Amino acid sequence: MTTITIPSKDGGSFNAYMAMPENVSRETKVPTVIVIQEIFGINDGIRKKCDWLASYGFMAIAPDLFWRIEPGIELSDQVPEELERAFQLFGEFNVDQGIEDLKATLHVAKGHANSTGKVGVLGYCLGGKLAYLMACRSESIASIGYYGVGIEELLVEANNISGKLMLHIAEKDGFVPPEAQHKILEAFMPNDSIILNTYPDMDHAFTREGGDNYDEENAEMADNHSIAFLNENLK
Amino acid sequence: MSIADPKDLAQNALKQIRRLSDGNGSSADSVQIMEAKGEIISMEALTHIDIDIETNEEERVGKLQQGTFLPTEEAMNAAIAGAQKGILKGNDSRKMITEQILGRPDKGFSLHGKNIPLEELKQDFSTHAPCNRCQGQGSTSCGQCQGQRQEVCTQCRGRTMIPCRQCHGNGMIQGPDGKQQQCKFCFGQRQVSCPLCQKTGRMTCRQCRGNGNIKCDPCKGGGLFTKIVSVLPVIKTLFEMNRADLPDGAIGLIERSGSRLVERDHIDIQAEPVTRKDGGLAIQYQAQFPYGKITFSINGKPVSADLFGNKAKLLKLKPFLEDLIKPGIESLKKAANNDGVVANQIKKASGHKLIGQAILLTATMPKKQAVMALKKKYPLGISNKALQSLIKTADQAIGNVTRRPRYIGLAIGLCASGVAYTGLLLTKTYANLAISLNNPALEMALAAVLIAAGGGLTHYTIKLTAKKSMTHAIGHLMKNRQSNIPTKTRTSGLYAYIGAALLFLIMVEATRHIGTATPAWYFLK
Ligand SMILES: [Zn+2]
Ligand SMILES: [Zn+2]
Ligand SMILES: [Zn+2]
Ligand SMILES: [Zn+2]
Repeated sequence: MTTITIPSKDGGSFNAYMAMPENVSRETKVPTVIVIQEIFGINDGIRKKCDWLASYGFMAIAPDLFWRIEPGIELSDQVPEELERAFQLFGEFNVDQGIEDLKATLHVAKGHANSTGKVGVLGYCLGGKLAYLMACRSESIASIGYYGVGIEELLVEANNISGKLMLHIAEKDGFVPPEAQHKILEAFMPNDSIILNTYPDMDHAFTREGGDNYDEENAEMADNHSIAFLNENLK
Repeated sequence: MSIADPKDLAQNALKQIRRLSDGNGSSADSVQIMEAKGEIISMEALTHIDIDIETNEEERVGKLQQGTFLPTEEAMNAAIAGAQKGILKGNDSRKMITEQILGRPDKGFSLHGKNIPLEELKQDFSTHAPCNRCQGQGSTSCGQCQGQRQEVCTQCRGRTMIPCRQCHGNGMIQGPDGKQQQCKFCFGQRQVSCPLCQKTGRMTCRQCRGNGNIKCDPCKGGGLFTKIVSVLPVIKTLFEMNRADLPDGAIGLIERSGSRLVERDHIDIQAEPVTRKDGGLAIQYQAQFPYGKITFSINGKPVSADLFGNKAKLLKLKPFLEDLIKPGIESLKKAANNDGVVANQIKKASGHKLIGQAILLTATMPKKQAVMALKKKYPLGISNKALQSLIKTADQAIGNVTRRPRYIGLAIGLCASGVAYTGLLLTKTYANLAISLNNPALEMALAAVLIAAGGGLTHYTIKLTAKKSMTHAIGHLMKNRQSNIPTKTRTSGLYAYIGAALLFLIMVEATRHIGTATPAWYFLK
């Protein structure tokens, strides 16, 4: 469990948390999953998700996407001031630059000594939207978005998807009103490279442990779908 | 772009003055340059660019989504605050703003006090909020019945009985024999059961139709509003220039219309984006333009001006044309005052090209437009005030040319109309027409048509007679286009229609005395 530094396209650099599967020697090659953060930065929750993916044999990298605003942000949804700060960051965050930083991460992951060269992405909330955009704009082979926010505004980009995409949609998502969900389902249902999983009665962030909307049963179901999808497309 | 050669500038200026004075009491040869000198002036300037963020809040009925959706108002406000911060310090917005300004034809030069919205950076946020009135229920308890579904009977006001209408509540009524007897409807009780509420005193609430609730009006029954906030960055500019070493004629001109001067290459600028000491954005300019003094000799008299920019703009030029055309103006004034033979005075005045054009324009268009058109032809050398007074005088003169003919035309037209009306109304013709129409409204319409026809005919004869006199007075200005001389009928045009209407009514009245058919509407009130 280490921190690596990734050079950005425009000359800066940012940190990323990296989790490796156990017993990886110099010769071992493993596929990579880039974990894309929520609006709370790289916190315990995201690091745990990386560790979880590593336990399934993936190299997991979570880049600090808020570094342009302030590096090293770590917030909790349980502290009201930190929650407000998180929404501010959400408003201030530049999505296009975020995608550039994720592409830089993907580039580093591909060239890593232990990498098979197969790289996927997996993101939550804001990261869910970025995972969708990575599927549209990058070479990500397998992309997974958990309750992504604002995808309905970007539907046309789906024409550029080259890999596979899986979206987990919470049917009672407070960030994604029914009309928006309807738009997404209508547009993506006929697309064979997109797998849609919807969860009745689930609200936003139902897989965030310790969060208000956490639901163990549905979280496990979604994660199982994800692991199967990653095994199928990256291994 | 390059700076123009001062010699060429002087020649350019000479051409302008010759064009203005030619045919206006002077000829091309009698305009010469007496003296000309100039230099290239360099100046520094700065356009400050500040970013202001305008937020626009809008509340719409129903469940909508626009831009970034957030589940609560607090979350939305936080996200908006973040977005504002992102715009203010984001590198890409700064770059976009600089590009936007430098991409203008004037590169932002002399852009002072302008607000330029940056639509590309506009962001919308939305959230849903329950209706305050109905707490999100979509309906509220009926105010009329307080949710009771019933209201007090409007007939008996809840008393269940109403006064008897037959006996007016007296209990007695006058019988056929003239004696008072007991009312048969209320049996002397003076009141009867209320028929509206069947003696209950209550009726179904009219407001809610017995529902007890009514649809909430503010939210149209949906219970929800969508709050949409648009965040729009606006560039605010402030222009600053180094006035020292600048000729005073140039300062005002650059301040007023610097951006046009750059666009049309009157001045050259080099623009470069810079960061101000306070961290703000600015565009720095190095501007260059020729500036000089020139003196012309016009009919031997000196007339001087300042020469500005690559296209030899003449500044501070005194209204020299006003002197040159003075004799023509005198003749025109005489024509306007009916002094002497008007047509001859006009001919004499129009010996000056400028006056000739003024007369022609005045004859063809409204006065205000004529002033503008003349200003376009003579942008220099004559003041606006002089142009206005010239057009006004020309208008009076033309009015004098056509006055007598217009009234002759009016008389001819009305006579002809009168003859036609006589032929129609004072013979049996109208009776036959009225029978076939068989409808007062149609007859009235016919009257209107006849009056319009008479008025139109008269209007036409006025134009015809006026045109003849106009051709005589200003035909020489029009070069083979005599047939197109336009004539204004002025008030006589109005008289044509009023006269026709009066004539028609007189004829109608005459029918009653002579005994021919009178239109049916004439007797209607
Ligand atoms: Zn309401
Ligand atoms: Zn009611
Ligand atoms: Zn009675
Ligand atoms: Zn009643």
